Parts: sequence; C-alpha cells; structure tokens
Amino acid sequence: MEILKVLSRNVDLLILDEPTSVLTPLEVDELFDLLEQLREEGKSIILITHKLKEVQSVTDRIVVLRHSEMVGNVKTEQATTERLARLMVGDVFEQEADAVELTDQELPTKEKRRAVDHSRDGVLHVEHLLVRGNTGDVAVKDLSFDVHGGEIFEIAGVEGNGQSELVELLTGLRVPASGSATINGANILGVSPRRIYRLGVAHIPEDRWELGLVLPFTLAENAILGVHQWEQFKGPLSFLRRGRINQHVRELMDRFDIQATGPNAPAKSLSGGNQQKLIVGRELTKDPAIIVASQPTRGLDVGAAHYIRQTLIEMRNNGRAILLVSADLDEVLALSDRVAIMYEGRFMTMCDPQSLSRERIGLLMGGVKEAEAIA
Amino acid sequence: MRERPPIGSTRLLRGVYRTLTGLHPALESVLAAVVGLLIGALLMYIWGFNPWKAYIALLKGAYGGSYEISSSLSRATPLILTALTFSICLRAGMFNIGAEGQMYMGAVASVCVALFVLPPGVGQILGLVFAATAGALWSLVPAFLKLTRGVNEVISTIMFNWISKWLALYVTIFLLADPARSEKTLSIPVAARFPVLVRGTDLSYTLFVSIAFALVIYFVLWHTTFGYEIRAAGLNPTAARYGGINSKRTIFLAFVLGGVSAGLAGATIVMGLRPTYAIYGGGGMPQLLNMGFDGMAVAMVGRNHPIGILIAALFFGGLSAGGRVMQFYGSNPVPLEMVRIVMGAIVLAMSIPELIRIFPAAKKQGQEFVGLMRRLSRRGPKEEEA
Repeated sequence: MEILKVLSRNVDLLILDEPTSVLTPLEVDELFDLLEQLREEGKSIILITHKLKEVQSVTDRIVVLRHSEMVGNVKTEQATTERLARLMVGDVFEQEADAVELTDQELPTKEKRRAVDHSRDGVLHVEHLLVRGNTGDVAVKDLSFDVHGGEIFEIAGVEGNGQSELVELLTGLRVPASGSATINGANILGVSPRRIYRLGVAHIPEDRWELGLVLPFTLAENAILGVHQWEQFKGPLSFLRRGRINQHVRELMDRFDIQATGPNAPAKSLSGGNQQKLIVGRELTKDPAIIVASQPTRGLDVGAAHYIRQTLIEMRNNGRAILLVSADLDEVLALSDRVAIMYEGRFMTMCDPQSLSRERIGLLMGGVKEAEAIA
Repeated sequence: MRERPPIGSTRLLRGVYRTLTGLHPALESVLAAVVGLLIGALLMYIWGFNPWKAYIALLKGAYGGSYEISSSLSRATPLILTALTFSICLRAGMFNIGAEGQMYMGAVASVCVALFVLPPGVGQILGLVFAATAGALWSLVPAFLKLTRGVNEVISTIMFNWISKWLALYVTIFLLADPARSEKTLSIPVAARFPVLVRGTDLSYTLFVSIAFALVIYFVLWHTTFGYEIRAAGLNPTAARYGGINSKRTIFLAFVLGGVSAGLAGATIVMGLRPTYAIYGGGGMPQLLNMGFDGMAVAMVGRNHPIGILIAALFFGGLSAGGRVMQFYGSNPVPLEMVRIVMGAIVLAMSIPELIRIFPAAKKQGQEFVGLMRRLSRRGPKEEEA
C-alpha cells in the first residue's frame, strides 16, 4: 500500500488526499487508528476529503474550501455536521442572492412542463445496475431509476462517486457488470455507441477535450462527429458534402451563438464556452429522445453556462428526457425536476429538490444519512 | 546556495521554443531540409571536400536538365507511394514500418505478369492489380495481429519486412528466374510495361500512377467519411469511439490502403524502368532496396499530407539522382554515402520541433505512467489479503 510506504519513511508531515476512496470500510478504520497513533507520536497530518464522517471522526481542526477559497476554519468539537455542510455548499445569504440572479435571467418556469407519469417506465429505464470502475472496483452499486420524457432528472454528488462510470455505461463507452438498462424498451447494455445514438441518445460528455471533440479538427469536422454518416452529409461514394456541412455549421453557430472565425477554424482555437456550445449544438441536432449531460457547465463563464442551462430546459419543455449529472448545487436547485444524490455508487435519496434544503443536500453529498443528520 | 539560471537565457530558450513550435508545418519542413544540407556541408568540410562544389554538382545532377529532372522524377515515383503507406497509417494512429516488405511483395507479384501472354493494355492493369493485392495481403497480417491479439504494429511490420525480403529473394531465384540469365527474374514483356515518358531516361508513365494514387488518397482522407473516420480515430481515439467510430475498422482500412500503396510502389519500379529491368536476386534487389524506408523520410518531410509528399518526393528523388552525379564530379568527388548522411540529417532535423512539442506531453504521460504503477502496487497487497 502506498500509504504504508509513506509511513515507513518516518515523516513528520503527512498529507493524505482522499485516502479512503480506494479502501474498504474495515481498512478505513485501520487507517484511522494508525493516524491517531501517529498523532500521539507528534506527527502532523493533513487529511483532504469530502466525507463528513471521516472529517469528524479523526480530525482536530477543519478548514473548509469552496471555489478555491477558504470559507471556514473551525475546531472539530465545535463543528456540527450541519455547519460543515452549510460551509461546504455556501451560505443561506448567498443562496438567496443566487435565486435573485436566476429570476433575473428569467428561467422558463416549471409550469410549462408537462405532467410526468411516474408510474410508467421512463424513456430510460435502469434496473439493478452494477458497474465496475477502471481499477475493477464496483463504482455503481445496484442502481434502479427511470428518466421520463419532459423531466430533468439530476444526479448530484461530489465527483468520483460513480457518476462518470454510470454515464459511460449508458452511452456505450463502458461494459456493464450486471443489471439492465433500456431506452424506449431497447436494450443498451453492451451495445456500441453508434447503435445507442441511433436509439436517440445525445451525450454531452464530462471531458470535452478528450471525449467531446477532436481538438485538431476544424469546427466543421467536429460538428459532424457522430452524425457524419447521416444522409444529408454523405454524397455518392461516401464523399462528404462540404457545402452542406459548412452550411450546417453556420446554422449551429447562429443558433447556439458560437463565436469562431468560421467553419474551418480549428476546434482548439475556440474558448471553453464556445467548445461546449458546439458540443451541445451538435448533440441537439441529433433530435434525441434523451440527453445525457455530464457536468455540462463546468468551467464555463456565466453567460455560456446560463445559455446551456436554458437550452436544456427548452429541450425538457419539448418533452425530451434529460439525465443531468452535476456537482454544482446551484444547478441542482435551478434545473432539476427530480434529484438523486449519489454517494459511493448509491443513491442517498431520490426526490423533488424543492423538498430539500441546501444543508440537507450538502449532508447527503457528504454521505450523511437523514437519521444521523437529525441526531 | 543554488544558483538560478539567468533570466536572459530562459527567455531565449522560450523564444526558440515558441519559434520552433509555432512555425507553419511547410516552413518547418523547408527549415529541416536546410539544416540537413548544412550538416552535410559541415561533414564534407571536415573530411576535406568542397561542399559548395559538391552541392552545385548535386543540384545540377538533380534538376540541371530534362534528363536530370527525369531521373529525379523516376526515383520519386516509388517514394511517393511508400511515403503514402506510412502517412495513411499514421493518420489512423498506427506506425506502419512495413512499406519495404509490402513493396517487395508488390514487385514480385507484378513480375508474375511476365508468365502470361496478354493483349496489350491488359498487362499493365493486371500488374498493378497483382501488386496492390499482394501488398494489401502482406499488410493485413500485421493488421490482424494488431486487432485480434494486440501485437504492436511497429514490431510486427519490421519483422515482416525481413520475412518478405528473403521470401522475395527466394521467389526471384527459384521460381521466377530468367532461364537465360539466372541472376535476374523474367522481364515483363514490353507490351505489358509502362512506356517510357522521356526517351533515353528511366522516367515512365508509372509517374502518373503515383500522382493519381496520391490524389485519390487525398480525396479519401479529406473528402470521404472513411477518411474522416480514419483521421478522427488517429487524432483522438476516445472521441472517435464517442462519435460511434469503430477504430478497429479504421485501422484495418488504413493498413489495406497502405499495403495497396506499397504494393503499387513495387510495381512502378518493376514495370516502369527500362525494358530489360527485372528484379536482380543476386545483387540484393537493387532499385528496390530501401525504397520503403526512404518513403518514411519523404512522409515526414511531406508532413504526412499527399500533396506535401509529392513535393518532398521530388526533393528526395533529386537528392538520390544528384548524389550519383556528385560522386563523379571534379577532382575530389564526394562519395554517395554523403547523400544518405544528408537524408538522415534532414530526418533528424525534422523531428526536433516535434520533440520539443511533445516534450510536455511526454513528461505528463511519464508521470501518469508512474501514477498508474503506484496505483497498481497499491492494489497488489489488497488482493493478497482477499
């Protein structure tokens, strides 16, 4: 174990970054015993984690970071779980300020949405899904859920709790361990990405540089990634119809407000926001039944983020199903019709976000169950 | 106390870095060629030759008149095709070093035309078809090994070059040998050869085969969905997978196209040079030897673009044609090997900007590799416990 290697070096200062993410609960207990022992020996230990329980069980002092700023510095005995959660997700005052900002931007109201019949199977229907991560550990543990047309179903949670693996599975980029998943009744497990897109899945990926775009390609070439086999772009002998493709790109640039010098600009010359708008535009032209969007606004400027959220809501109002994965609390509260909070591969809860306070969401994201939170 | 490097020199280094990485690709190639020629000049000077005179001889020998230009073009003809082999596969993200071997197979296959009596016009086409098929089949084996067993294509294609070389020699000596002159194979009859384009030279109509194929490859790569998929999978395999592109298919396709190209290169040599030309088994297959490897240099200088390759092949063809003149010129002639040194120096100079550019990426990859090993070692004891 790496940790043991570090310990054997007889250090005075030990920094551990999410040390428990690869350990079993039993091993975690052992580790913490060891850490306490080290503390008794007079060593300094810095523990970086998002798990509230861990924080409270071993530490003496807690520093809370949010958006790269230090927002809290408290003694552990004085810190209640609620207080930590509030510090992690932002203050009540800020929350109200955000709410005002959002109404200023006139989000389409929820009344517009159609009634969703939750008793029926959704567009996406997932049952007892088990997914393994890259290292062979179980990243998604026995999940079952439905996403219906006309709703935004959001999976919230701190990154690295199985969301990426789930999304990769649903879009054909990962092989399932067990369970079932269907889109409009058709199986999508172990099916190639191309077939899955044909079933009407659009995917706005988490990593737009690695997955969403071929960076050295031009805007036009990127705009047809995944749809390049469409009749409208393909002439006789599989020739690409450059004229039509360029026209299509110009339409995308107009409709999605993509700032670029032209269809032949390399994708890497675009700003992050414009790259993301290009991906969103491309995916929406697929006329999808369900949109799987993973952290679609991460790292974007306010304008681009707002635009993309607006677009997602429009698609929702058009009766599309939207599966949104996000770690951004504001996004959860502003967008989702239903939210599931994911922690270590499981859903902590699944409900209407209006029924949850920010603190409760923060607690759940940190892995603290309801009963414990009340106590 | 440790001294910091002076700020002036770091700024200079950064400036050099920016200049070298920001150059237009075509300019980079020209710069590399110039650097290669300068290194050659330096070596000639050290060994007591007159570089100026030698290069004038080389230039005259390469482009000094219609005969010289013709022989440069005739040497460029197969180089264009073997360069395309390397470039097509590189565009798909594969290092196909096997042009040499695929070219031998193509050459041997095209000699087979000599076994039949054919109406005029058919022989040429049949020869090209034979050669293309043989080249493609030869390149399919490494492709299959890669796709089904994950065998590294660099290693398998290099090994296949050797197999192919001795196989070709065997066939030329024992199966296709000319009964009258046992050191060479049967010659393809004149009616089935590509006619000479400029009288008295080696340049034949096969030049147009090369140019046409380069243009075809250009259109395939940049104007069809096949080429689009090949390039996407080569540049970013994960994004290609996300875009529903089957990278196994694109690799397969690239190897087939590359094999066809290298096979044709063999045919252009056997069917294009003067009427008596055939593969000389005894002499270690002159004319064919190294054409595949030189093609890789051409591909690099041509920036793996068919049009760039056409220009680069003319340059390299000129080097090798002019080099022959250079070694007979003046009182202190420069040996032919010097030309190969220049070629080597150009290839090295080509790689400098690329090296500088990939250095940060390579460093990052190295770190990721170390990280992966650490993670694996972290997993090790855990599994033992279980």
